[in-house]
Amino acid sequence: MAALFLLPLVLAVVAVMWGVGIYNGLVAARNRVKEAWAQVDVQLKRRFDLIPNLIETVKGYMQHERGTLEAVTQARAAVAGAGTQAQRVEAEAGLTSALGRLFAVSEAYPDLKASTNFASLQEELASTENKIGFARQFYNETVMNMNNRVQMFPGNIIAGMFHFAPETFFEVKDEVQREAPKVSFN
Amino acid sequence: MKCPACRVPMYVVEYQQIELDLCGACEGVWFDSGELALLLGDQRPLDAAPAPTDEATRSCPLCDKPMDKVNIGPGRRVLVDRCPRGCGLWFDGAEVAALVADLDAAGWGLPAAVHGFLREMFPAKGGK
Amino acid sequence: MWEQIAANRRKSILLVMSAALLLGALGWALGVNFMGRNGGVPGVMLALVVWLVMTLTAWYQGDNIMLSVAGAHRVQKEDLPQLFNVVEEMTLAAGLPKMPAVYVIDDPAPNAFATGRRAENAAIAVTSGLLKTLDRDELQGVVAHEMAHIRNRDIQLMLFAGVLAGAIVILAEGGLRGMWLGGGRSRSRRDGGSDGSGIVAILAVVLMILAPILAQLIYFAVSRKREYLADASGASFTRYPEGLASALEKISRAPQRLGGATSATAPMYIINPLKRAGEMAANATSTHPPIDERVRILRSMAGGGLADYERSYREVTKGGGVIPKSALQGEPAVAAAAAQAGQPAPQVAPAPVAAGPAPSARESARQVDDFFYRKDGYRKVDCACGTTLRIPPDFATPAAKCPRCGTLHDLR
Repeated sequence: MAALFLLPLVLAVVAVMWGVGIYNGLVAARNRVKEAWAQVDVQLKRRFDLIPNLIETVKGYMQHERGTLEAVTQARAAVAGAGTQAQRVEAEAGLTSALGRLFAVSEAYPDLKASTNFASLQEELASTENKIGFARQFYNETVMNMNNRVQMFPGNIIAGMFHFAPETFFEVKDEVQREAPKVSFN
Repeated sequence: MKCPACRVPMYVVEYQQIELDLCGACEGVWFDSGELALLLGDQRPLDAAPAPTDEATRSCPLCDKPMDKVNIGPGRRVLVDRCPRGCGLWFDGAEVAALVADLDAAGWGLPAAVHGFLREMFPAKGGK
Repeated sequence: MWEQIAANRRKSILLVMSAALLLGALGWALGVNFMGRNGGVPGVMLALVVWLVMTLTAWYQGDNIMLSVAGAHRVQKEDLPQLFNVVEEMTLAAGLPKMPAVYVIDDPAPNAFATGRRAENAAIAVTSGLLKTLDRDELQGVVAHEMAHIRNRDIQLMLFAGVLAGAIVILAEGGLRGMWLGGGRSRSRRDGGSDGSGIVAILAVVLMILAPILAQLIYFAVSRKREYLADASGASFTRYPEGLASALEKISRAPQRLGGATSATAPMYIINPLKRAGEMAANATSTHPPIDERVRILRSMAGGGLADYERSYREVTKGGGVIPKSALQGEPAVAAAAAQAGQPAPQVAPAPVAAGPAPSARESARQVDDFFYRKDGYRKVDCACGTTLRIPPDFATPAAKCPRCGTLHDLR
């Protein structure tokens, strides 16, 4: 007789534990997304901080490229002024392409290219650009993982109950990507 | 690194971002294969079959293997030591000068990059 | 990747257990041989102590032992900025919690390995030959491969495998030597008593012979599949399989042999350092899959994802897959997962836009050499004609001549 009462109880306990497992998985996935974004953010800030130094170094050599330099400064200001995440992503993409143009133009200035200060800044910025890309790639992977958990059965039940929302990908718009000149490392 | 001929420590000379190891005692020169590759870029490295000779065998200063004797340059008149494992080339004291003189006389017999660099590094010193 | 990690953990435990058994047997044999019939138990006890010390050593010092056996030196960002940046980039791509320490080995043979207890305190070591031979994309491919070993926790297994194999070989050799010396003495003391010391001697000899075979087994344990997996993950980090493919080709073609590699440490390297160019053919006992096959798989990848590698692997080897299903369902199999979830496939980063040329091959070669000249205490002398002389600390003559202008530089 007792078994008849115990069975639903056992089933309920199993169901709760199973739900707790899914819940914890969701929390862990959300934390991974946050951590991954923090890494992207660190690199974006690093680039932001390197730019005044770059402009200062380049200014003397590139008298005739006012427009290119100003575009970089303006793109940087746009990043600083961005309010929402979507605006920020767009402004950062703009900064990427402005910097790309600056480095493309710098090819025409042998004196500048010979300066060791510029060479090390260029490696720094190029690498920071790569780091942004790789951190973004990893961030998008964690977002994908999170969203799969939130939207696929059975995770979506628990996610709905506790208001887990899908996260936004950090996408780079195609046009911006195409505009940015691909300067090879070789 | 020790000179394969005199066994004393060698010093390094860098020019145009290429490095050579020199012996202060016998003026021999070690041309590392990595440096040769930097100098040649994509061009083919020097290759020649080992030549029979009674010259004493030397050991590679890097891997200690006995080196092969090979003839290089125009007319293959200069006999140098080459590491069988590909570590590099060893020129005895007078051999570099002889090679440069031969190259100058005969035109390009070696890839131009190597000849140009050697001529820059070892300008003909009157008589030698 | 979790399936692979669990498999690694099982293999680690198995390895430690079998090494303990071998050590116990060795201890028993040596104990009986040197201390008489009742020496077996103390011998085993002694072996167990040795085993404990070894395991603890492997756990706490194994990575340092590996690095010092290989002759690796720690570098900082100011020494080799480009290498440092590449490692940092791949740390981000792999999503590792902490950047591995960077080490350089002064050896003209291009090669690389990763080691460490866990992802949080790992190390990546590359040879100076590697830095001189590869361009930045290729270097990135190699570092990505090593980063994959770290993230897939292969390094933990390789650490145990390497230290245990080394220790067993040393113990077996020591025992053999002790047998020639001590074994003879004990026999003469008992003047020819047939107390089974002959059998023990045979057993001990058998164990000596077993040791190298065990090393071979460790070669097997560090399976070839793991190398494929590291190639796959590495390609998915850089999204540019060609970088690793071309690096593998260059490394395998290089004529030099690595100095600091032994059979115990060989499985750790990206390419087996004990085989010479031209004899790269894989056989049943090989630790590494054939290079040209690895290259072909990488070259026929349609994209940079794990799923792309899996497809390419099946095509090239005409065999079953290599990547665990769980890994394929998880992270970078982006397109398929997105379709399942009813979302548009997000654009996962293409190869990031590189903003400038790297230092030339000559420049990076000089950077590496400069690091070692500084470390080894070379003296720098700039000659007025444009050459730079570097004088080793043990240089015997008081002056050095510049070959270009003939100037004698006084060194006193």
